[in-house]
Amino acid sequence: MRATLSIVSCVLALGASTQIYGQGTVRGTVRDATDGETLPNANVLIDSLGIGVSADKAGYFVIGNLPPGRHVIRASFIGYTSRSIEIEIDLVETEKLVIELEPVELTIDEIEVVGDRVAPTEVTPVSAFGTRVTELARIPTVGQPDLMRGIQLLPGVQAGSENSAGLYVRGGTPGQNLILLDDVVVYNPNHLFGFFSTFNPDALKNVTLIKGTFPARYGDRLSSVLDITNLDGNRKSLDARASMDLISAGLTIGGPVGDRGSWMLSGRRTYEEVLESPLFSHLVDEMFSTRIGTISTNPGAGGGPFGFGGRQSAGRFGGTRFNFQQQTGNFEQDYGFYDSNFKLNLDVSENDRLSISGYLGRDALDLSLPSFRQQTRDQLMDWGNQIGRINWQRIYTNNMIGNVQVSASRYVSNFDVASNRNADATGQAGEGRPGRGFGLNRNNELNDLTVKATFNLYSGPYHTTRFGGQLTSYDAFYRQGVGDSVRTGINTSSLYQTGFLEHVMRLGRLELTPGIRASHFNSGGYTRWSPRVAGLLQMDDKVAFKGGWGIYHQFVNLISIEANTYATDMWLPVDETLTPGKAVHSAFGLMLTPSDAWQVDLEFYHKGLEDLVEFQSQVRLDDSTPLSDLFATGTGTSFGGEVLLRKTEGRLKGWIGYTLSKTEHTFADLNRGVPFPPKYDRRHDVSVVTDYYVGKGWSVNLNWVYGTGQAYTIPEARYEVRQPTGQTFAYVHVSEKNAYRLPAYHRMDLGVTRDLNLGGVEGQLVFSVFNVYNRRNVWYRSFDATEPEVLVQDVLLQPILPSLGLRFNM
Amino acid sequence: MTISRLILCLIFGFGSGACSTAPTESLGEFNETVLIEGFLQAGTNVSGLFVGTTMPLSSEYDRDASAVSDADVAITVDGVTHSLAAVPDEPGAYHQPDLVVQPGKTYHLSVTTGLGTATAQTTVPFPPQASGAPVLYAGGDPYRVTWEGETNGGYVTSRQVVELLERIPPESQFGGGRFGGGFGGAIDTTGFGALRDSIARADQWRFLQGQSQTLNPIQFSYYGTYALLVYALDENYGDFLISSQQDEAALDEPRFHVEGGIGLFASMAADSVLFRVE
Repeated sequence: MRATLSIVSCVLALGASTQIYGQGTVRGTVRDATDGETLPNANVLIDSLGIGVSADKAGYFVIGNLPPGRHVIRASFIGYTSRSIEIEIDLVETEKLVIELEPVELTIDEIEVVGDRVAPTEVTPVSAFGTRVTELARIPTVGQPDLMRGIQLLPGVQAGSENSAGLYVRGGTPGQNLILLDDVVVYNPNHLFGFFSTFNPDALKNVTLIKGTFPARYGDRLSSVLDITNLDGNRKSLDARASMDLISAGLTIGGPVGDRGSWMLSGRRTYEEVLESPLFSHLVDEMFSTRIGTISTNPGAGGGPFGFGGRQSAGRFGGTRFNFQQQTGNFEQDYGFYDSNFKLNLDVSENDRLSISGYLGRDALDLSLPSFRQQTRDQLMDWGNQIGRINWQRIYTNNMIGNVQVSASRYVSNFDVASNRNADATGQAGEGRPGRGFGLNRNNELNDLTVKATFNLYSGPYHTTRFGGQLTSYDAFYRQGVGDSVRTGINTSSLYQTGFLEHVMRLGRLELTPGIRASHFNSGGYTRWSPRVAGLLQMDDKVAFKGGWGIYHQFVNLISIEANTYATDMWLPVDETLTPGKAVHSAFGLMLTPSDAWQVDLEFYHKGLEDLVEFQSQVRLDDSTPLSDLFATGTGTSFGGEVLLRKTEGRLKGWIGYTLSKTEHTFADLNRGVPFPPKYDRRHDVSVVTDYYVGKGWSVNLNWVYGTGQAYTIPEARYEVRQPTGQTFAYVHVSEKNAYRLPAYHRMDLGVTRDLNLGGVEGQLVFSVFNVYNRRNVWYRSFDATEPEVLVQDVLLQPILPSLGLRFNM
Repeated sequence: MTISRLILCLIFGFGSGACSTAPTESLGEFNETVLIEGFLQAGTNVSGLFVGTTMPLSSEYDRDASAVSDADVAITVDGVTHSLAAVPDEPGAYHQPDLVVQPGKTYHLSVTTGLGTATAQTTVPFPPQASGAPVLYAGGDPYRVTWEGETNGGYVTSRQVVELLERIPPESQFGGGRFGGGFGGAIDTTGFGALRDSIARADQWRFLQGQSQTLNPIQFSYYGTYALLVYALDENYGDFLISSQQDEAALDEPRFHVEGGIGLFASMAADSVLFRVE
C-alpha cells in the first residue's frame, strides 16, 4: 500500500511540475461536424513542432508545454476529412477548442480526402486496430450487419466457424477476450447461440481491438481487448435511424439536451411474430437442430450413436442430459431476441460531464410441447446481459482529466423443463397416476459490480501518465435442480481489487509505454503483478518499428461447453483450488505508410499460456466438488505472423489480411498428456475485404476468406471394458486429439448498397449474398460407429444465402 | 442460379437446409493396441485379469477374438514379482491364486505382448468403516448409511439380499400417497444423477464421492434382511467411472492410467452394513 501511495505521489508531482514550466496549453474536443458526436482516439497534430497526441475515448485532448506564438493544429480521424486550425498560444490563457470534422461520405465526390496515417487508437499501436463501427457494419454478412463478423476478418482473429460470432484471437478463446461496452464488461456477446453478436451497429460509435500486449489499464483477460463505445447521441438536432432486415428491425433516436448534452436510445428485436422471414427460420432451425440435439437427457442411459459408456456417468455438467430430439421427434420452436442501448450525456459544467449508459439484451427460446406422449411439457431457455453505468468525467486542471465510474454487469442463463404426465387438454388428471410432475432446471448468473477511477495526466506533449484503480464484486451462482430440490448449487462471492499505472513517453522518434498492473483476488488470496511495455520507433513519416511485451492474468473463467459459446455458457471465478490463468505476450513488427491512402502492418507474435482451463465434459458435480475438479488444466503456446495491407481512402477501401500461425495445448488429462492443436488452430488464414464506391449512390462490397481446415479427431478402433459386475462399456479408440484436418474453408460474400432519398428522407437499400459461389464448407465431421460399417458424415455450413436490408436516417 | 430463382428464393424461402450431410471415407488407420482389465479386491487373490487388443472398427467387438492368451503378465509388490498364469478355457484371462491382495500396498502390473509392454499400478485402498441403524421401517423415514475412511477414487455401493420374507403391502410401502405429486423422499446430494436418487433401484451399483447413502423405503418390496456393500475405490477406478461416458462429439476416451496400452488396472476394498426391513 505504501509503495502504491509513493508511486501515485510521484505521478502527481510529475503532473504538478508541468505547471511550473508555465508554457502554453491547448486543449479541446474533436467532434463530428454533422451531429456533434465526439471522435474517440482522433489524432491531433502540430506539424510544425512535430508534436502529436491521440484524443481519449471521449474525444478530449490536451497538448501542453507549447511555445508561445501562432501554430497550426490539425485534427484527423479515419473516415473524416482532416481539418487545420490556426491558434494563438500565450502563457496565460489556455486555448480551448472544439474541432469539428466532416465525414468523408458527404464529400467524397467533391474534394480530396486526407485521412490518418495510422489507425487511431488510444494505445501505442502494437497489435491494435481501431475503426468506426460504421466501417465494419458495411461488410456483408448473413442477415444483418454485425460488428463481430467484421472483426473476424482481421488478421490474427479467427471465427470458431461461420456459425459463431465468437473471436479466437491469436490462439485464444472467446472467454479470454475482454469485451467492453463503454468501459463495462460484457460477459455474453451472443444472440442465437453465437450466430449474431449482441452489438447493434446503429447504436455504436467506435471500436478498438487490441490483439495482444495490451496496456496496463486493461486487465483480467489472457488474450485480447475489444473496446466498444456507444454513440453519445446527436448534440445538434433530433435524429433517428430505422433499419429492417430479414432478421430484425431496429430504431435508434437521439438528440440534444439543450446545449449541454445529448441522449441516445436504440432498440432492436426480431419480429418473427409479425413476419417470419425464410432466412430467420432457416438459421433458427439449423442452430437448434445442431445445438439442442447435442445436449442429451438420458440420465445414466449412456448411448448416443456409439451406444457405449455412460451407465455410471453423469454426463455433462452435473449429470442431467437433455435430448429433445430423441424424445420429441418434431417440435416447433419459438425463438426471439432483443437488445437495447441508451446513453445520456450532460455537460454539468465546463469541466464536468456526466454520462449514464446502459444495455439490455435477451434471447428467449420456447420449446414447449402442448401434448407429447400424454404429457404436457414446458421447455424454456433464456439468456442475456444487463449493463448499467454512471460515469463522471472531470477536467481537474488543464493537464489532468479523470473518470469515476460505477457500473454493474449481469449475465443470466436459465434452462427450465417441466412436464405433467397423464393430464388431458383441460389439465385434469387422466387415468393412471394422477398429476405426476417432472421438472429439471439449470440456472447460472454472474453479477459484476464495479467502482473504477482512472486519470490521465498530460505532462506536456511528450508525457502522458494514466493511473487508476478498480474494485469489483463478483457474485456467481449456479444451480441445477430437479423439481423444487436443488441437486447442485454453487454460490461464490469474490472481490477483485486492481490498480494500474502506465506512462506514455515520447523520446525523439521513440514512443514508449511502460506500465504495471497489480491485482488481488480475494477468493484464493491471489496477488498478481503484470508488467507491460509497448514501443513505437518512428523512423520517418513512412516507416515505424513497434514491439510489446506483457504479462496477463485472468480470474474469471468461461465454461464453454461446446467449442462455440452459446446460452449454457457459464462464468465462474477462480477459487483456492483453481489457479488464475496466466499469459505472456510478446510482439514486434513494422508499420509502413507509403502514402496517405495505404498502410501496411506486419507483426509477429508469441503467446505463452499457463494454467489454462478446459471444462471436463466427463465430470460429476455436487456441492462438495472443488472447482479444480471441473477443469482440466494445462499450458499452451501460440505464435505466428500477420500482415495487413489496408487502404483507408478513395473510392476503393478495404484490406487484405494474412495470418500464419500455430497454436498448441498440453493438458495432462487430455490426449494422454501429448500436445495437441485446439480445434480452432489455423495454419493459414486469408481475408480480402473491399468497399468500392461506384458513384451516384451505388457502392459494392466484396469479401473473400480462406482458412486451413478445422482440426478434428477420428475413431480408429473399438473395444470394451468389462466391470466386476459383468457389465460392459463399449468405446472407440481414437487418434491423437485433433490430429486431422477438415477440407480448407473458403467463401465469398457480396453486398450492394444503393443510397435512397424518399421524400427528403435519406436511406440505404442493402442487398447482400453470403457465400456467393455456394461453397459447401464443412462445419464438423461426425461418426456413427454403432455398426461395423461406420458412417462418416460431414455436417455442412451455410449455403448461398441472399439477404435484404433497408435503413433510413431521419 | 438465375435472377428469377434468386428472387423466388428470397420470397419463398430456401429450398434445402444448409446443414446437409455428405458421406466421406476418412477413417483412421487401424493400429492394434493392448487392452487390460484388472480389478484387485482386498482380501482376495489375483484373478480374472484380462489381456486383449482393440479391434478394427469394421468388425463387431468380440472378446474372445480380441483376447491375448500368450502374454507375459506379472505383478510386483514389495519388490517381489509374481508371474500370472493363463486361465485354461478362458481366453485372455490370467490369475495368481497364491497372491492375496492387501490394502495399503501398491501393485505394479507389467503385460508384454507382441505389441510391446504395457504397465500400470494401483494402490489398494483400506476398507471403509460403514455403519447404519439395524432396522429400516417400510413406509417410514429414509434410511441412511454412513462410512468413514480415506480414498482417492470415491465409493461404490450395492444392495444385496440376505434373507427375503413376505411382500410389503402397498399401503405400508408407499406410506399413504407417496405419488401425490413430484418425487418424494430425500435426495442424496452426493449422488451423481439428477434423477437417479429418486428412481434408482437400490440393488444397482452406485458410484458416490460422498460418505453416505440414503435409501428410500419405497425401494424395498419385501420384508427381510439386507446388506449394503460399500466399496472404497482407488484413483484409477474412480477416474474411470467419472469419465466412462464417451461423448460422441469430443470423443475423449475414459481416463485410464495404463502406459503403453489402454484399459483399467484398479483396486477396491469393501465393508458392509446389515439391516432388517420391518
